[in-house]
Amino acid sequence: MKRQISKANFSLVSTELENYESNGLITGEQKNDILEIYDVKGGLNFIRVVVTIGALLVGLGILSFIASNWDGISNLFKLVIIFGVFGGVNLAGYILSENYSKTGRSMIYLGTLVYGAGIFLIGQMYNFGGDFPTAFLLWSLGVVPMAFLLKDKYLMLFANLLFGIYLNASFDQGFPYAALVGIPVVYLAFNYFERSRLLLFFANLTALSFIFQMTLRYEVKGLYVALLFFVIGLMMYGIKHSVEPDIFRVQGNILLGVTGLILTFPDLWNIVVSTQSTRLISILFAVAFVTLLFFLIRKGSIISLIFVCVIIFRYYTDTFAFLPKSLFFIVGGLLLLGFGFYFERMMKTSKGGTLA
Amino acid sequence: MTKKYRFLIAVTIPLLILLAMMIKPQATVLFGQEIVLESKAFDPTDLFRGDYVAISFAISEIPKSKVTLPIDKINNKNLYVSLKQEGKYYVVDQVSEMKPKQGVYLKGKFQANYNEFNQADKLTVDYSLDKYFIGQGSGVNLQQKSYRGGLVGTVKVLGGYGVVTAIAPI
Repeated sequence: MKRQISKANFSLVSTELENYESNGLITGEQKNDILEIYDVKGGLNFIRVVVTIGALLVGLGILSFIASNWDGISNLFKLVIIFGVFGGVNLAGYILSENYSKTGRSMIYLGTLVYGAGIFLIGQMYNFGGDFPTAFLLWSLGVVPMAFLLKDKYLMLFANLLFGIYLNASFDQGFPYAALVGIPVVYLAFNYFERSRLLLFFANLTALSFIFQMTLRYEVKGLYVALLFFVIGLMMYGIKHSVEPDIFRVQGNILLGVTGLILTFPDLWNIVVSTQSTRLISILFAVAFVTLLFFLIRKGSIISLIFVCVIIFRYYTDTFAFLPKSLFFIVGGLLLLGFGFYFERMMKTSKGGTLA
Repeated sequence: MTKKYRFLIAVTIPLLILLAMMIKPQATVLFGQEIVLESKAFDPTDLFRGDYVAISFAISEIPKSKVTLPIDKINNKNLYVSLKQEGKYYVVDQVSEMKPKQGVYLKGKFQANYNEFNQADKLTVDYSLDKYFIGQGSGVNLQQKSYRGGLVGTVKVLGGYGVVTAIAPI
């Protein structure tokens, strides 16, 4: 099997190989042999984009029609229309899948939106009270079978997003037992759908938001929530494994950056130390956090660099006590300049150290 | 199992979910007992279900003195509220942990409201009967009438489950 690479990477490889050829490093034949290994991955297919957006518009139109609660036709008739259109587009999708696979697939997508409209129609017909987060759980539940059957990662992504909405909206409802099944399912889907990185990314988001909802439900103190997610972020970044480590590293890095930033706010710490010392402990944390970020930047993390900038901005706007701030910034800056100079000199003397 | 059958199953599951959602409310509308409740209302919009009248029934506020249970058995618990007819409207008769054997009753989630002396004097009950969906734009009229003299809601009740079937000015 050929190696699948993106268009951009393929053009990089071929320009480099042409360069080697003109330098006489490889022959023209060798260049062609190497290029033969690769297969350019299909990017966006124009027809697919057009029909999918078409299906999306029709679906949103139907959802909006239901929400208008137009009294020109009865609820029962609306329900018959929903059932009829749902059956019709799925049948069309099935028939078209043979010869017009892209249009066929967009019919299936339309069906999932029509199904959602049906859920809200029923909610409206019987005047269901409350915020109706169950609607999103049921919607998700109805999309999953088709997603698995067609192995369609976008349908699965849609189901995952709907499930995420349910999880985040069900705070004042009973315990979201559905998560005990739903979260394993989104990871199972990742494994089943040719290990799509997109699905893993959103599966992680769903799992994290479930943990967050649990901390809200059991009224965990803000400090412990932030610390918990800081540690989770560190683990996602640091633990070595072979399952798409890039995804875990990026998500872990953002998570530890955001929670670390939150932990630099003094008020959070007043549950473990007296009110007078919250400022001190938050600054100690900030120093340790920035040290960690510098360590990560040395390992090539650009995201950490962004967080260092945010931290600097956060402290610059923190207080109007200009003189102490001035001292703090000048001392901090001089320390960094000094370190940088020391490292640069060390590299010069040791001739080609690995510091970069 | 052929491809055709598997596809059929994937299409049928959503339809079954839709039908299953309708069983309890439709049975209530068909076979439930009709009661009339006193209410106030205003007119917001839901993104997916459209305009509705947010209803607050008089029976959703119960004085603590009406309930004999200790407060930890009330707050955040699902309890049964028995109703009795007084004149035109149904009003709260009593509150119980167990399903009443007879009469009209609704199941609701209780929440204690504390006054300035930190005593739970009023209880709010969520019966999930707080919305009535209407055609777009028609709510303003209802809302104005509600300010003048209140509204009456008609609710069908079956086995502690209620469905709002009508809202009208007094």
